[in-house]
Amino acid sequence: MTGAREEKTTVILEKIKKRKSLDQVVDVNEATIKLVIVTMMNEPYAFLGRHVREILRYVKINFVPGAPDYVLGIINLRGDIESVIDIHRLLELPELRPIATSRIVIAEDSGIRSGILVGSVDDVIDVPESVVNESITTLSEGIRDFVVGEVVLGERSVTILDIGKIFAQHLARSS
Amino acid sequence: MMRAQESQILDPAESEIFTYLLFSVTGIRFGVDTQQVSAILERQEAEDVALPCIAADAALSIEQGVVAYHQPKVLLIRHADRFGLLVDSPEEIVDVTIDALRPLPELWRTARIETPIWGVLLYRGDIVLLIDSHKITR
Repeated sequence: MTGAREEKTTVILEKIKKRKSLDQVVDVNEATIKLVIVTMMNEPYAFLGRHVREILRYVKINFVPGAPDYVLGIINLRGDIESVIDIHRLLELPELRPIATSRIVIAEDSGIRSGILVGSVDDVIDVPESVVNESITTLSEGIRDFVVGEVVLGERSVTILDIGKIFAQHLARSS
Repeated sequence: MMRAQESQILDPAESEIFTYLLFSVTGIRFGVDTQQVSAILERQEAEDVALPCIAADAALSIEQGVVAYHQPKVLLIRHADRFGLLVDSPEEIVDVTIDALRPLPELWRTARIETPIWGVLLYRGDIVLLIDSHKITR
């Protein structure tokens, strides 16, 4: 009985310790940015929260012939039609086959609104601007153009992608 | 009395009925305004009168290898330049109001994609792609 209580106490103390270490990172007076952490090809990425409007469970995407190759199709979102982008193709990552954890992130910037299919959405967090570094990870050329920085969360380095840049490339390809 | 008030505030355009002929190609549902279709012909009939035809998969840029038309029909397009659109067996003709119609998402408009697909019909929970047969390039 005592052993079990001690074990529970240890778990609680571990949790307190973990929280405290997070508290050390977040200074309430410091400007923070919201990040939506997603996984693509088992690697963590983040979208800037200000671009994200909604996160949807995977729904059937209706293919539309004649669309650019990086557009998967359209979905019916409560009576509105939204496009869905294949970000894997844009980032030159291997093809994503939708699974149960797949999500469609509805994003908006520069007057463009679209869904983006990702492997999963893992978290939505606020981080101090000061912990966002310039990207130092060796990134492939396909990704580099869309990166705004990098943040270390735990032991993982998370690449922050700018959806605005993704949409801007769409516009550039179209013009 | 209530009905009268409602009809007074109703925009006439909103009560206008649009009629679409629905058909499928490789499982994708399409709709075409029946005002653009003057007849539905058997394939043989179209061949007998040497009607120039274009298959829907070519007209709509469906690049999925060889497309099989199990129950082919030819839609005689009401157009100055008479031609037929080969489709798989037309499914039904539906009357809808503007409430059921949607434009294509912003991405299409910004990409300036040249396509005969101009919008979407939400019909019984399904997405039906609306085509303007006059924009089909032959």
